[in-house]
Amino acid sequence: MSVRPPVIPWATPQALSDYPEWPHAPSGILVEGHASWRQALPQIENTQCKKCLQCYLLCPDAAISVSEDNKFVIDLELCKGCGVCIRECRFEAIRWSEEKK
Amino acid sequence: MNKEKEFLSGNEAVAAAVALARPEVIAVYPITPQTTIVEKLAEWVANGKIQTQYLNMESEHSALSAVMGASAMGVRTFTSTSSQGLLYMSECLHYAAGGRFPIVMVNANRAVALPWSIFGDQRDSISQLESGWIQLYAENAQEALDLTLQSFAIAEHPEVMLPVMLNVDGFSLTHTYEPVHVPLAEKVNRFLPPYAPTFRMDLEHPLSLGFSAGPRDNTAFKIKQHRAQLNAEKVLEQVDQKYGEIIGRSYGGAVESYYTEDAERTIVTLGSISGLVRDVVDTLRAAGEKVGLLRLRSLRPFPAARIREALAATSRIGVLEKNVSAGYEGTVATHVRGALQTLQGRQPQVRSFAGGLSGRDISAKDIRDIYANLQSDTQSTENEVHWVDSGVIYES
Repeated sequence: MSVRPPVIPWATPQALSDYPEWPHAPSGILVEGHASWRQALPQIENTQCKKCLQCYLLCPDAAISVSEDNKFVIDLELCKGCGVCIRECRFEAIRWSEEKK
Repeated sequence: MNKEKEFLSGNEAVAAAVALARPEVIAVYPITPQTTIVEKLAEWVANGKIQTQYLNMESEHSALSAVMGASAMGVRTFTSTSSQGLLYMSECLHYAAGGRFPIVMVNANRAVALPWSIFGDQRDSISQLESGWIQLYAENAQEALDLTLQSFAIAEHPEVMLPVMLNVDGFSLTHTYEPVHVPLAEKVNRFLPPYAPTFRMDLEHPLSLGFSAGPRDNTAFKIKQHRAQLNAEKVLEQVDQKYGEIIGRSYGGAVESYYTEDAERTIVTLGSISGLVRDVVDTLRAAGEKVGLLRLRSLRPFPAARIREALAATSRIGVLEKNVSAGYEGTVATHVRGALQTLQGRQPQVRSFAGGLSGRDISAKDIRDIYANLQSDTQSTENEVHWVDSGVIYES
């Protein structure tokens, strides 16, 4: 399994020189997490998961990662609750869960 | 200077320059009066004269998007458009400048609808001044060739990294034949080495390209983009100088002054009409009239300091452009007026002249009439546009 670059937290820039010169950066650097947008949280039921990687590849915020014991987990800082993973999972292994804010 | 002299239209001169610049990707969509540039390039790709990835796209929006993608891969790119095509690209224009992709695009200046017209004026490019692109304006076919080559050097300069839109007047330049010196490839290679990208798509060192930046971070990128534009004013003079040293022609940077040192009345203009204005200046100077010409070769970056310097002696200024911003005046006139606001101690009169709309001829008499108008003390009401259009009476 290919390994996605690790998410590198970006320290809040203090000066203009802390920003890259253009809106491109080495992959993995997180500019902004969108957790505050989330109205509901997808939940992965790993017993139903076939490891097809569709959710991992298609998540627009790179919020889904693979744990050391080969389980798929959702990063609560990154997930904005768009539901793309739920829509794409052909095995109904991802569903909405009510999240307490 | 080499002896290679050919009889070329403005568009063919641009195509010759593009071939010499060796872009690896050309993505285009045809539109009058730009089409003969890309027709010529397509012919040369087909017969093997140039090696490039030539993409015939389904629209201008797609053409500019394709060269953005190619530029992200770290290769030199070229595209070309005109008028409605430029406006169809509008979304991608901002995108390319914000993304800092050093694309070179030639825009054949043409009127924008409605009323529909295929003929030349500058309303298309001037309407896109805020897109973040560098905007240069050529006077003749030779300069179109030279500026095409210079545009690549300016765009790809590490202190700039911005797309360049080179504007050539539709038909009066694009389709008019002139003797043009075509530089030798070895000299061009010395002036313009292969593009060495600052960033590019690379599987070994993956990049997130074109990320979003919200309320906290967006301004920082706009400041950097603005500073890159300001850097470009210095860089375009350096590039012009280097071009002169290697190729043998240079133009003096962002403005060209003609008898402005002691001119009482000066016409500020841009593009192909400058040649006629220069002729009229010669005639009037021979008759003892102190008139001058200031030609703007760049609207972005806007060379305000050089304009102030060049117009230091002038008290009456007429800005002649093939453009009008309905409800105010000519956009270039507004810019020149703004540049002169900081002049200490005196405030020259600036009058806005709109002419040549949709290819309407501007005659030598029209130019003499502008200088005569500038002589009259009648203070034009603020924001009055003087319409240059020989033979037609506009009742007020």
